[in-house]
Amino acid sequence: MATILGTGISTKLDSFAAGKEAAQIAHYRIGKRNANIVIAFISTIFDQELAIKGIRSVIRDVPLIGCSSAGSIANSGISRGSISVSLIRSEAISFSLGIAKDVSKNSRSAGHEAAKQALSKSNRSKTTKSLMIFSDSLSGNSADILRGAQEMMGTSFPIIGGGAADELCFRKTYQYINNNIYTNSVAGLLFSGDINIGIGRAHGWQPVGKPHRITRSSANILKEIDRRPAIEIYEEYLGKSFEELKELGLGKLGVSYPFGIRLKEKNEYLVRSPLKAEDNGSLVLNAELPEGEDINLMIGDKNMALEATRKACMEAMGNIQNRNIRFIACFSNIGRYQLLRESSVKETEIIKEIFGENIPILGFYSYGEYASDFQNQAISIAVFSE
Amino acid sequence: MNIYYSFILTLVGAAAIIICSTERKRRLYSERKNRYLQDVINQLDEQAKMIIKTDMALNRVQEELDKKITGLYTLHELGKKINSTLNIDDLFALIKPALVSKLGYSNALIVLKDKASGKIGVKTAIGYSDNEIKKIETRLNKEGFASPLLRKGKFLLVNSDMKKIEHEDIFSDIFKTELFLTAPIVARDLAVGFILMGNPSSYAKLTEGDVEILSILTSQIGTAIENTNLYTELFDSHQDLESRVKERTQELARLNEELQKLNKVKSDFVSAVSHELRTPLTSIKGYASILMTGKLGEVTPAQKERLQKIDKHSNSLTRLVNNLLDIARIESGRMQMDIRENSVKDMLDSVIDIITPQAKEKNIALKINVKVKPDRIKADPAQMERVFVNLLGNAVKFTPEKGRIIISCHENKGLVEFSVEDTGMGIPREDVEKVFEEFFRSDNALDQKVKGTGLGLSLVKKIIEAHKGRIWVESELGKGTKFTFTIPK
Repeated sequence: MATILGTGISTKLDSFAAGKEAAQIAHYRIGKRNANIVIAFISTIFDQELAIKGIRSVIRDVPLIGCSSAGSIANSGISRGSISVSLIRSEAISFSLGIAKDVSKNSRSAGHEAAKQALSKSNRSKTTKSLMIFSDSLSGNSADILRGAQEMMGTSFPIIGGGAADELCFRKTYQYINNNIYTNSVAGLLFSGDINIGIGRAHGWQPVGKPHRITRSSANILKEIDRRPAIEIYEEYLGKSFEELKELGLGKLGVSYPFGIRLKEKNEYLVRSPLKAEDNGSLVLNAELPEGEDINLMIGDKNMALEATRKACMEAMGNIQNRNIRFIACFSNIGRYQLLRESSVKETEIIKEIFGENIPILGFYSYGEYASDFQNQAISIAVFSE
Repeated sequence: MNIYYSFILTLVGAAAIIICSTERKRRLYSERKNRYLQDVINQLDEQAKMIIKTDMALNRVQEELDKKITGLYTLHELGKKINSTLNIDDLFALIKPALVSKLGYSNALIVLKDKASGKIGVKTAIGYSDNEIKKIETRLNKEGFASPLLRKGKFLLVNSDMKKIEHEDIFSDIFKTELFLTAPIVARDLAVGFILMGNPSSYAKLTEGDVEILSILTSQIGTAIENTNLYTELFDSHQDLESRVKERTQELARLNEELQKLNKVKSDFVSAVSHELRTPLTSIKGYASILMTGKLGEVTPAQKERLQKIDKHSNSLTRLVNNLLDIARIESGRMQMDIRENSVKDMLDSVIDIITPQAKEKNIALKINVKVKPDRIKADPAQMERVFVNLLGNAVKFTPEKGRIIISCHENKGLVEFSVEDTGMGIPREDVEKVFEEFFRSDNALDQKVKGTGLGLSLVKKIIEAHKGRIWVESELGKGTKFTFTIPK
């Protein structure tokens, strides 16, 4: 029987009830059959534990993976402050899970560990096809997590996923494996078997103003730009004092005005956004910005953001061998929601326009996107076909 | 030669000077151009800054608007639930963490002042531990800080950039929030409590928009409290009324039972007395007839006349006693109706036979107007005859000479309806309702003159009712009376 995915979304205000409702809808969408995997994205407005209990009241004993989100993305549209539950039933695909803690201590080995675990639990008779990861966006270096996973799976192995989010508070995010809720961790879901995966990603942000040089940085801490404390670039361009920036929330401003590094060989920009500022004026990111690189502040435009959605979809479409598409995974950055706002729904409309009106979609608004590399402010699309 | 060399040198020197100066010019030009380009870049960069600032301002507006829409939408959803809540505890249970988060806060308190004790109590708390709630209650009660929060129409907005308000630090300390907003809950024009929403520390500053949203929430809750109070009052008074109605009903039932007992005593008494009367009456009648035969001696015409009177009066006394006994029997349920199919025509014919002589005597015309299709009814023939004889007898009695009596019969909605209408003297309006009462006699002269026991109509009513029928009377003084009764088909 063909692989099916069903997604249910609930915005009920009671955490347990919302989890239950989302699970019930998803279960209904797969014809009330037994699922092989549960993928859940839960907004941080909900009590995470109660929400998972709600999901478990409907779907028991099925492996579960997921993370906290800033909004759900599904075929029915997008919805902030919600719980999204996706159920997959498949005979072709086998699923295996991995979890690694202490991302902040050593992101690379955490990525490596999560992938290793998932790989060790996978069905050896089936070919591994893709790794989906959900990581804490507020600790460690997500680009390193990806490198660690690639060490295990191979650099060309398709890795997709999203950075766990909260509701733009930048305080704490969660990762789930089965009934356990983690933080400062990375959770991985390995797809093995008779499926094809096509990945695409794009961001659509444009540089604004002149380029500046990174004069001092260390891992994911950006210390100096043009020999001045890194925060000054925001003080200057946004016309706000350090105190004002802190009060407005640098994380929240950062998703609207991220940094871009020009990738010389590709004539495009890699986007990174700061999460917070340290008192000495250094900026903390969830991936590194290397010393000596030129960076620009970036600005978004609704049309270009939507154009990026189309571009990511087309790229993913070009990367699959057959057109028997079963479902789409979509991880879109919260910065894109902040930019698109009521037009955000167009993002799912574009996906449906390209892949079909009834194509099942799983996804959430994230703080970082994996699509064979790690980006901020981007949209990652993965197409699963049989 | 020297001249030649000097010339060459001069030439070279001149060329060098020219080259140098051109080179210098070129460099100067290039420097100028660089400076110009740098200026252009800087200008463009300044423009970029302006673009970002404008974009940021627009984003802020958009965000504020979105926040308001989300807030209003959330309140609208909540409002629908609040409106269907009639219990105050259910009402507070609706304030859930997710709702508070949607409104943009992590902490919330609903605090009410108890009407009787004046004590401040936390009804709902989100983002606080039980211990913290207790502390808040104690501090609000002890130190009396609650009073500024309980002032009608007064909102408290505590933001990090605002001017210090009185007790601000203490409030921040009590509520463990750096930024918070309070609004009084007003029910029936009185501040009964307050709501607090806040964040321990937040990126999002509180704005006037937040005050608006919170004031909508408090007015929703205030109205709901008012409604639940009204509902409770209404419910209580309804309960009270119900219990009173119950009491009265029980009392009435008790009285009714007593009355029924009394009535039975009366019936039994009447029945017993009547039985006791019947035996001597039979003897009186028997001895009178023996005397009349003359077997016990010659009877003079004067004696015969008296004996005839004895016979006549004992007959009417027997009738009276029989009627009384029948009424008592029907009332006590001892008399079974022998209900069977009868021909309407036969029944009326036999009644007419009985009544015609009396009618002829007074020259009264008897007219029968029968429209019953199946022309059969289900009734006890003997009792029906009594009904007609009574009604017609009355009609003849109270109709002056050359009057007219009409007997009608027709079907109406599954019932057979009979009526006896006369052109008699009629019944006074005030007596119409009483004619079916036992021993009732109208006060008018004719009624006093006409003989009767006052039991006939009462018996008629009992018989009709025993047939599950109904009887009523319409009358106009001086014009006539119409008795109508129905019995089921």
